[in-house]
Amino acid sequence: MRKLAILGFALAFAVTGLAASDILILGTTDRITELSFANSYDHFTWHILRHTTQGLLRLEPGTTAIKPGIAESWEVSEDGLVYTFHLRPGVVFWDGTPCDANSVKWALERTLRLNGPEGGVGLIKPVIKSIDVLDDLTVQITLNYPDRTFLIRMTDNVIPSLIYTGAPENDFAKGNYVGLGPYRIVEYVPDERVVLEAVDTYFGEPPKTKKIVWVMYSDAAALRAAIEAGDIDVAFRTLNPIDIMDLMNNPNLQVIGGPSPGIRYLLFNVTQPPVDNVFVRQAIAYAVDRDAICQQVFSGLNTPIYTMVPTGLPPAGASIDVFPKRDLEKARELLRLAGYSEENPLELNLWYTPKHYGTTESDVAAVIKQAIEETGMVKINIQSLEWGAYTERMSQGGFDMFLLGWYPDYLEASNFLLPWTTESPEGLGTFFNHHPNFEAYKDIAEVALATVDDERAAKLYQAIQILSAYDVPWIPLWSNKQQTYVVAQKGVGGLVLDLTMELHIELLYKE
Amino acid sequence: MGGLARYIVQRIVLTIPMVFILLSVVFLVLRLMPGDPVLAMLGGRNVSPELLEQKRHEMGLDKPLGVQYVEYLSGILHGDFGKSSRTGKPVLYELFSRLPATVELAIWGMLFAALFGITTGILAATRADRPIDHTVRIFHIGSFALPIFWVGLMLQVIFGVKLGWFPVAGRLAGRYAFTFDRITGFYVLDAIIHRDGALLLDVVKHLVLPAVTLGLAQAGLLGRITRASMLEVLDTDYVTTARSKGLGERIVVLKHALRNALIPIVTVLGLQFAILMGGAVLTETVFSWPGIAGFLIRSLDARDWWALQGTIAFIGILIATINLVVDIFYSFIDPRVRY
Repeated sequence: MRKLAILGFALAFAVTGLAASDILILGTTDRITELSFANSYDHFTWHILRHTTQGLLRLEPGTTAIKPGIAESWEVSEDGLVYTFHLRPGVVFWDGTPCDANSVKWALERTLRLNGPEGGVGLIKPVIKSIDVLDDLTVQITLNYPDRTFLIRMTDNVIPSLIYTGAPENDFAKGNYVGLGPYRIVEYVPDERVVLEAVDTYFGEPPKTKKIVWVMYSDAAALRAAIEAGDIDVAFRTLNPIDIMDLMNNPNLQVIGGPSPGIRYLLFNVTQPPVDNVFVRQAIAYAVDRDAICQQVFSGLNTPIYTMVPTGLPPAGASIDVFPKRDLEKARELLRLAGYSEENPLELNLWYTPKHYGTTESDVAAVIKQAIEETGMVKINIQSLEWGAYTERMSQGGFDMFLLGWYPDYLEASNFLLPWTTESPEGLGTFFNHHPNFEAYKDIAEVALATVDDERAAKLYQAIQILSAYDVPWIPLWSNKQQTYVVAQKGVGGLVLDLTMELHIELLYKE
Repeated sequence: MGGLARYIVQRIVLTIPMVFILLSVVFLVLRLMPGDPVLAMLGGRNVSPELLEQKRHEMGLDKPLGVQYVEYLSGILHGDFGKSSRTGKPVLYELFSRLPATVELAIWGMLFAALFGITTGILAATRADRPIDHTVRIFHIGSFALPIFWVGLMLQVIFGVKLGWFPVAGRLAGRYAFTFDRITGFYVLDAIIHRDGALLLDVVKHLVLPAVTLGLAQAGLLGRITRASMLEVLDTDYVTTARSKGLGERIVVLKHALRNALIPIVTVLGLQFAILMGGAVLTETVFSWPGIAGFLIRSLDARDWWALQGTIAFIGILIATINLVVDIFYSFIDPRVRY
């Protein structure tokens, strides 16, 4: 009898679970912070919100083209101040509530009103003057000033623009909302998993896979182990460069890298000696060795960049390489002009933060130091601070030369040029508002943002880049492709990667 | 008041200042750390000074330090450990949602440690100075000398990635996410409630590597203590008497010797809980175990002050309470303890 019981128990255990053909298991090291449209600002939270509801417009996966979302068409007034959106008829939220012009107005006004300190509402709030309902299916948004980036900001790429219902009137949603996206959240266990299920009422193309489970891993090593062991179908964000290189040799896996809008760069506080001297900044721009950083630290996964604006970002042609390739002789010449020599070397700090950008930052600093010191006329003192102290000192102007990174708030060239020059130069440590050319940058930016002509805007953005290569408030270093890599089991299809750095889970399927 | 009651009251009274000191140290250390927590949360982004001020006000950081301290202590007294600025939810909610994972891991880790440590300790003691004793002793020393994260990684690579016997991380395979209801948060118990053998197997398989990792270091220490304690007891007159009465060696060892040798072992088991929590931080990290330790580390990375403050205070109070319970329990099992 006892043996029979043991046998029965063993047989029960031998059953390996459900066939999982309609389920995809995805792994990440990211976490959800707060599922609130007005009070969250991080990649994974936005990923979940974006896939559970929609905006008036959307970015087509694989491109940066603006496509209809809830709005099937739109018009812009001559002066660029009034946008009229015509909504799709028959769109409903998960609970069957129709999505009409009043729903759009309610959701947008609620997000704008709540404007949480940890959210990205600032991406749409300053520009929107009013939201009016013209009829059941027509919404009109009037702007405070013409802004060519407005339509991009109204896509599902910018979460505060999303439309939802059922959220508390005067408190952040914190997961309490009814969306109209391809998926709804079935379960969320913090630090453990998010479970998504396809929604029948979704107005767009039905998702390829009905059930998605995101499993959260504590670090890159665990994520790598999970994909190697076959515990998950897809690993996305973020594996270490060395792990990605290793996994490329695994015959059971496919490793795909997408285009990256993430950039890393050096910044200067242009008011701080000795980097207040433009010759010093130009000399550093000639001395840095981007290839050495990309090869030695990132095993060739990341690629050098010579402008802040990533290639492929709208408007077309905005990105041009303006910074010089490495030229030590030119760097020495500029240092001499600045009054330095082998006998009287320039002494300079290089600040970095050890964990915020991953574990490779100290290696990056060491490579930069070596490259600049090869001029024989500079002594670099490497200094580091934890992120909290780093940002505090940065915003107080306490750095001369320092490393920082950027991921776009919205996919347009201006978001890679204006924050450090005209929008928040003190908060981001450049103090460029004290630079003699500040007004020139501001004027160009104003004209560029007001124009609806893409070609003209691209030229104006080019002008800012050309100016920046002379003024050197920054030195673009590398494109951070590492975070765009997706590792998937063989047989997983629909992996469409683009500049949004988004994993379009509605397109994924397993053969 | 009876002796035992007086002893319990004394222990509780002694615990209060200890917890108070702990809470004060946590509060002060966080404020002595360099850097502004608001800038750490929002800095590096395009944020306005007004927004920074708003957040400072919301977090109460614009108040004098004394006021912040009084509010902090008063909050904890009322069961309010603050609100996590990272997740927007009360710290206590975050902790209780993760506590079952940590406790479940600790229980299984402790069970493994006790079972393995005591068994090997008895084995070594009953075969003292023989090759098996030397082997076990080397193993004991090795098991608590090896860093937990290294042991975890090795087990993960060998038994998870290479052999594929156990899942490498987490508590549950993704395929069960649609059929599994989180009832108690203790997944073994939940799987039993579900009456699903395959689910239970999956949950147990997920527990094996982290529990072994966590328990191994404790097992080494327990093994050494068991060996020493058993050797002492095996040398006593009453054990010799039992043997001379013709009792079998198994009965002598397990019934007569082990029962007395267990007293110091039980004490160490209780006291090791604090060490276990430290080990849980590393184990949870290696195995992506969604417990309190992971929450603590993420809060530290995000400089989420309230979460950090609340979590450390909570763990401190938890350990103080467990030690108190162990002391009281010990006074019951060992009559030699004076009240």
